[in-house]
Amino acid sequence: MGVGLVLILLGYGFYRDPRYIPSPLVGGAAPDFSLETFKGETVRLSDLRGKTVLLDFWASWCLPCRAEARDLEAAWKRQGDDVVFLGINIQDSKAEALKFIDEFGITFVNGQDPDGKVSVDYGVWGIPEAFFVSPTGRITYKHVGAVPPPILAAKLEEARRDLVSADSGRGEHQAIR
Amino acid sequence: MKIVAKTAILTLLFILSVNAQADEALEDRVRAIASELRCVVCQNLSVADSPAEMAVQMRGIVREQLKEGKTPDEIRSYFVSKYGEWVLLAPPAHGFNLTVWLLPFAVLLAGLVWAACFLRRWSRRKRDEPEEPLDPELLERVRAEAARADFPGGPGREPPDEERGRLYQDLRELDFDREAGKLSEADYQALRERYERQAVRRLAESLENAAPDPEPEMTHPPGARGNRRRWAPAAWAVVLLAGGITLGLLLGQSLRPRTSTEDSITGDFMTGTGPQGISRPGSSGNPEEALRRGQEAFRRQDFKTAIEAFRTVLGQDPGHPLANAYMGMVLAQAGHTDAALEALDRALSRTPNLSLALWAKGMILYQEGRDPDGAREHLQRLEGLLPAGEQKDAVREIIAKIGQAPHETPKAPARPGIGGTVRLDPGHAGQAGGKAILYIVARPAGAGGGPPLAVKRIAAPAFPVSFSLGPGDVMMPGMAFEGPLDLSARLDRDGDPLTREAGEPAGAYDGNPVKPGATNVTIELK
Repeated sequence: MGVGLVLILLGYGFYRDPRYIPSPLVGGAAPDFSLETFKGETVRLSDLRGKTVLLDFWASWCLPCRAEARDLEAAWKRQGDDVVFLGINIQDSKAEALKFIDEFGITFVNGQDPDGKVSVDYGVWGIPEAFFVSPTGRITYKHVGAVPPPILAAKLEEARRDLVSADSGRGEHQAIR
Repeated sequence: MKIVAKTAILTLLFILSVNAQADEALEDRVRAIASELRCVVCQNLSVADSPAEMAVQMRGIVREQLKEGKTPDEIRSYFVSKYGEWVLLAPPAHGFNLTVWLLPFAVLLAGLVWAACFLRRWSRRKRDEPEEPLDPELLERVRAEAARADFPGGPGREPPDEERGRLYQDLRELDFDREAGKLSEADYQALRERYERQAVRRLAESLENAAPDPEPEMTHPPGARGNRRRWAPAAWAVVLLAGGITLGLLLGQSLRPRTSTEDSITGDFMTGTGPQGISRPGSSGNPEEALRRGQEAFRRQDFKTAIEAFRTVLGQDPGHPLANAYMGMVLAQAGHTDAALEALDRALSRTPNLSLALWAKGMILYQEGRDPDGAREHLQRLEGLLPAGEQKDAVREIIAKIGQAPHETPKAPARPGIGGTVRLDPGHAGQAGGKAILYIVARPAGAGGGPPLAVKRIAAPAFPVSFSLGPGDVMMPGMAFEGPLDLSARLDRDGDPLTREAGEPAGAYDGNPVKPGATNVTIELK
């Protein structure tokens, strides 16, 4: 019986990804924060109440963020006024971040989280990491890694309707530094 | 005046020392809390010990919250509310976590109970031994055999028994010692009885083993012990076999050989992030066939199939020049510039004049602006290889641009785009919604199925779709959006750009080829 128990524990250990950190935030209120954008304006999440918000944590050194950038910008261009994309650059220099924004022609709002407070507030561990926030200010879905465009569209629609996803999504991502 | 100055200095020193002590105390508290939190980057270190940037930021947050007057419990709760209980290095003792705390003690207790039971049974057996009556027949036989000097090995039904022989030898020496006056009568009787008892037990065992059809033991329920003896090894064998198979399967799926330097050592099964390994279906096969399959997939932009095919080739020959060159181009398009350059370098190290690799590397270096000289060198080598014609002129033009403005212009040359409309045949009307994605592709005129120059991707298109295709849509950064071009379009129904299904609506512009600047280009998807 002891051997069986050890084997079961061993099997369980192999099945789970030891680096994956499940988030307790999905379904709860999105932590409020204010951020200075690269254009010098201040954005506060609570001011965006009533709109569907996509928070995207990224860094210029993160390869999956580069792979995702064009898709994200294309998706942003298709959105109406009721949707806001907010890029949060972490663990990066301002110059590199601006170069990235310029390289991929990103037009949605982006700001920097210089001391990591917003990142920790959102339990960020692998980037890109996206949080979908409903118009009522609730996190409806979290995706670690690049969000495939069809999932992005579907989850934005769910967020718009304040429908919380049972599971978090996962794709190709890079650990933060 | 001197006294006043002295007092001021002493006061300042006192204040500074108090501040230093306070800082030290705060740092100790920060460290104490941080040492209980797990670093989200390195995971096996505490936030206090980790040198990661994230750990530094987390320590900063702990410090700030302590200064705000929060208790260590409140700070721990804050991190748990963000990362879950995962962030605590020591799991809290409640719920399922209790097993982690209790299991070692439970195992220790079980071990102690087992040891106590075993010792008790053992000591009871020892105590009970003198009370067991000896079989007089066996005792008689033991005494007779002990008197014979040629035992063991004498005639008999049972095989020679060395242990019994040794006991008989001991008995004979006992008699000798007694006659020599070395033993008291009491000692002699006690030792004799002990040796005889051991010999009788041994004889009984050997008789039982030698009997062809032993009687069932009446002290136990008939057959109980025998059955147990039979199934126990079988059960162990099954458990070990099942364990071995489970372990083998899990290990096989969790670990696999690296196919290249960009590859991860862990498989998709374990982390969900690893690229496909050589042990996956479709990865085996003829490298030439795989290369051909990869090139075809690359031309029709089916990058997933292309990557699989090139990995197959590289799995068998990691330095394969053409496979590395194509892999480099795929990686460059995905934004993995460094990995792309590594692959291209591998291609060029074996075949220095591989034009595809020279072109791709030159363009990447040119576009990145990190090494204009390297870009020029590679493109000049390519220029030298190309026969006179359009391609040679195009390469020459790019080399000239490197000389003029090394870090700019290539991304978006100021050239006009092509505008128009894509219509969907009414027969396919139901296929446009949901996940469908429309691809509008421009290829150099007459290139047939060659690599596309530019691609526009429109998700969930609402037909008719107006489009514009321009320099911003070129596939390989740095390529000029120049004509004449053949325009075509296809509708990917499942929304996964890496797969293609048969019968998907597709079409080409009837007026191909077109030149940049053209408008009203209409493509019908059928």
